[in-house]
Amino acid sequence: MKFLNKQVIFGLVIICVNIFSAIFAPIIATHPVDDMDFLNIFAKPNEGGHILGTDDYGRDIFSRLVYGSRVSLMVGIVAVSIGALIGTFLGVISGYFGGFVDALIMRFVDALLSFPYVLLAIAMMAVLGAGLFNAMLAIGIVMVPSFARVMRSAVMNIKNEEFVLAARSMGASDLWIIFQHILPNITPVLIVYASLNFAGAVISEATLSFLGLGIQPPTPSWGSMLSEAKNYLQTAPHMAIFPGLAILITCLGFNILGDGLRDLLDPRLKK
Amino acid sequence: MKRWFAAFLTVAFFVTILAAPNYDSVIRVGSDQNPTTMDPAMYQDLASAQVMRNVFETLVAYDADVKEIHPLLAESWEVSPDLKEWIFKLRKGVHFQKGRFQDGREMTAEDVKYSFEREISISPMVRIYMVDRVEVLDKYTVKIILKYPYAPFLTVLTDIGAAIVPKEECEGWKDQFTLHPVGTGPFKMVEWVKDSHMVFERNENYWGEKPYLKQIVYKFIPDKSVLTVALLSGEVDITSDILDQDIPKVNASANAEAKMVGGCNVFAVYMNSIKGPTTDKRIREAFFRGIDVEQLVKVIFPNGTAQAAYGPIPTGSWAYNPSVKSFYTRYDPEKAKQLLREAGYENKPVKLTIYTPEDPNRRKAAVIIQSMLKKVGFEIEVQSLEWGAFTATTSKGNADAYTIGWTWYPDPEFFIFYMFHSSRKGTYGNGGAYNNPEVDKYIELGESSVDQKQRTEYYRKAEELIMKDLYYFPLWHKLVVNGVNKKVQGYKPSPDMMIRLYAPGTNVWVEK
Amino acid sequence: MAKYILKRFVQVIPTLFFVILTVFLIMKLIPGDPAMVLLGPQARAEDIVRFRQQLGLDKPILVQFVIYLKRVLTGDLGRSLIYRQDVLTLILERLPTTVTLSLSALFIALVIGIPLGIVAAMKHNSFVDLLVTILALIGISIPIFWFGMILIIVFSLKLGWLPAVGLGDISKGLWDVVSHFILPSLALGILSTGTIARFTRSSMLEVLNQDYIRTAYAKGLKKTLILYRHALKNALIPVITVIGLQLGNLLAGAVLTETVFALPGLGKLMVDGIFRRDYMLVQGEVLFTAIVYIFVNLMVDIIYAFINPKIRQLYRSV
Repeated sequence: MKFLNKQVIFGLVIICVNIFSAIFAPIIATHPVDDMDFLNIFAKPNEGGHILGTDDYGRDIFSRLVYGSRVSLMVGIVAVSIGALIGTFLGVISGYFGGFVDALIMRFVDALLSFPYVLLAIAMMAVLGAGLFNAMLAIGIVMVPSFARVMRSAVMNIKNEEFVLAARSMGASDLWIIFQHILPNITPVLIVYASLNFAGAVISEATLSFLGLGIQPPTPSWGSMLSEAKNYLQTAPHMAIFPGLAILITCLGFNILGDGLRDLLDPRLKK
Repeated sequence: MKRWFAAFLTVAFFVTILAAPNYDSVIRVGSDQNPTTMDPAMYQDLASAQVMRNVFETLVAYDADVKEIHPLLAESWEVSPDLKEWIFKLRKGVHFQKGRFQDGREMTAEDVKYSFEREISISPMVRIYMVDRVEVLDKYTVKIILKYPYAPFLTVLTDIGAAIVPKEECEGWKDQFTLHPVGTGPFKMVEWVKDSHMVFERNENYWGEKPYLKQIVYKFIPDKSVLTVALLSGEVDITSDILDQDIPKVNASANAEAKMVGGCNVFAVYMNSIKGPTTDKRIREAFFRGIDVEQLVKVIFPNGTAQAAYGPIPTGSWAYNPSVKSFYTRYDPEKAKQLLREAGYENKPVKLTIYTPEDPNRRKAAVIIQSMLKKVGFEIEVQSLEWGAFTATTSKGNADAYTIGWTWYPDPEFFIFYMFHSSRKGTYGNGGAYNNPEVDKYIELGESSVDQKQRTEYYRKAEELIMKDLYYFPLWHKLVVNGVNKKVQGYKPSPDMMIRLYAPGTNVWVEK
Repeated sequence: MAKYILKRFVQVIPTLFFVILTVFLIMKLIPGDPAMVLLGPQARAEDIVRFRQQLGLDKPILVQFVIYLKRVLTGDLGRSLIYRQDVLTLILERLPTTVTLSLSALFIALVIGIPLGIVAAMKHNSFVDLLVTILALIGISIPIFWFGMILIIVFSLKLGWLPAVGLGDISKGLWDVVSHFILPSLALGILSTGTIARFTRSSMLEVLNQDYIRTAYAKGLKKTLILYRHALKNALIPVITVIGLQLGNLLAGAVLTETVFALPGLGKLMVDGIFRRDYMLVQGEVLFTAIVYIFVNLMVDIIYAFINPKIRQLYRSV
């Protein structure tokens, strides 16, 4: 138990650092985020007053990393919310009512799960067009099927519990049962699954930006920074190293937190 | 003294042997582009055109400088005064390579007729669309009748889409012709592993001067940095491109060098002429005045693989105007601010969206323009779209401004007409919906006269008018850069980016 | 059991229908005219109109869908618009690269992941356990494409040990081919390694807490014997299902790995297809991978049901 708490706290610390740098980005950043220092392109770390060096435009990498945390957090929050909301809706309907509706929804979910999610995200971005909001929407939509499936099985687990059956025998409406009994009981599963998906969302945004489909320039995102870096791996490897580390540490934070929360909240593993 | 002389002779002898052309050279070409087809009627990309040149030949062809058109399968030609009827005398004794459906028979006028009709009927992109019909006058004479007078017709005939193919093989293989290409060219295709490599061997029955190269191997390496690594390690002998940042490394190496030539291309920002803020000339001028194009090019190409552009006609074209700068609207940020004030943007910025495709250089240009113009009072949004969405938006005149890249033949028609003639509205080339009747007039004059000097004058005049209208902000002309191993002899880069190993005036070999 | 298998097979039909429908609609919804993209910037309006007719793009969408569906039912995936060849031929050409990449990544994941998971479980709550947990978390938190880039920087550009990108050349010997696959497989394998290590650990922990293991301990059986005879076997059964699910991750990851390492595989083919609006190619390829994915998971489920008597009983009652 001690170990678990430490884990949750460790995850929270990383996330708080992230939130802090997102909120206070203008204060933390050492340079204006889009300032191009044409005389100092590809500066190495600690060269010309740039802690982590500059990129191919002569922009300060540290400052862009700090601002980039805003994008990551926003994507995480919005995309996971979209995925969780729609996914839970479908999962609850499917799990609670069963029958034909269930079969229809689940076959559709199976279909979506059977193609590689990166491609689904790329195709969604191609449909919606590039941009931060569209990226969040696309990532959220891609998350829907897995949320739906997890929530469905959570609902199935409790829908035959005695208190649900009792409520029904007393003539409670489906809607009332769902809101009064089902939803509160599946919330822990939802929280755990959402926190685990947060990291996935951050990586997905980076992936889309890496492929040139994400956020529009010059807004800095870690993924778009990596996308620019890929052309200069030989001449300026520092451009690739730091944004990747930022993604890694952030995702690690969310995964550690999600893991810790699961151990705390998931009744199956509680013993 | 005598001994010294003998030693000198010996050395000289070996140097001569080593440096002399030999007929068993093998050359390995590294290309970042992957051919998709070996059927001349089906091709849409430069990479395919380049490898097809080994197997197929056209009636006429450019030399490696892409300046002059030389006879190839046609020995001579005449054109009627109205520029509509072209008569070609074919070379005698030209044989097709052996294939499954014919045994290396002679090429005749019937083949020209068949090839052109095939191109017109099945090609998704008819390169010789101005051709009305082809008549066979005798076994070695063919008359091509155009729908309308068209001066640059010979240039069109140099396109590999107008290659001469044998009917038996095309009909015999049908869809599979692309895998079993047969033409009259100096090399035969012997192997093609898609996305990996391609091998050509010398056609020993070739009609022309014997190629020094015994074998050509193309290796497809999509990453340009890796291409350079392969060049430096001696894995390939010629590379299709060198990234700007890799130039110093190549220059420092002992076994390879970067060869460059001005290219037939232009990159620019095209502004909308029918709607949005750019319809106001003061705003367009402020755009020109606010961007230091030399600085921009220096940041994107610090090692000089591109030149700042001041007009749409590329440096690799024979119509390039060396004094193009005389009618260019120069960088002057103070003037830009003043112009915006006059246009009524005293306290609010001019909002403009620039669309750019996923080309890293163009995207970078848009971001730098965004930053430069911010200082004079613009607020620019950059929309970087993948290619399909980009062309859909920009072609229809829906973008305030977009970054256009244009690469084609050295004939100015293929730049000025395709990007500025009013009839090209609604296409990617003229997505700014540019329409100036006077420019149209000069283009049409250029299309219908034969004299190259005269034509140069017309297109330069059109260029001047275009630059004064300020819709087209030129960015740069990319140099064509090839990485070349020092053992490779007789090679020079071509402005149209094609790697020519064997062409009129060119016959490459590799030192042993 | 037969009933279960039959039921699962029947379920595949509507799933595949949805796959075909979804990808068809997505490709239709993507802005940008395929004819225009394919013909390139220099195309004339007449060429574009004619090309659209040739492709049947001028017909109503429903008609196009029915035509496509009929074709697919006869086993014809159509022709690629970029390559002008059968989609199936193109897929089969690229398949070996992707399969080699995925399998070697999976191999790495199993060889590293399972032992790590076992060790962590046996030394539960120790420093080793913490280390493995953190390493596994790093594995699932690392962006594949970035890890690939770092591997290129370190092992190829700095140390010069391994080639950076592309396929090897078999004429230069087997090593040339193998060496080209090492970095991409590592990059792709790391995600699955993390997942499998974590799963093995928790599965092993669960088994170690079971009554029969405790009884064995109580009986004074040797620790290693208990481990091999009882715990390991039962702990690894659930890991099989994870392998099935990993296939999806590997295919998705292959898209990125192939992009970073410039490998001509299925993933790269599909990304190019989307960007160049080769809708026939994309539709065919998605359908193909979906079928593979669905059937592999079906097999895994069936095998799992066979091995695990508990599950078998469960399904008998369903």
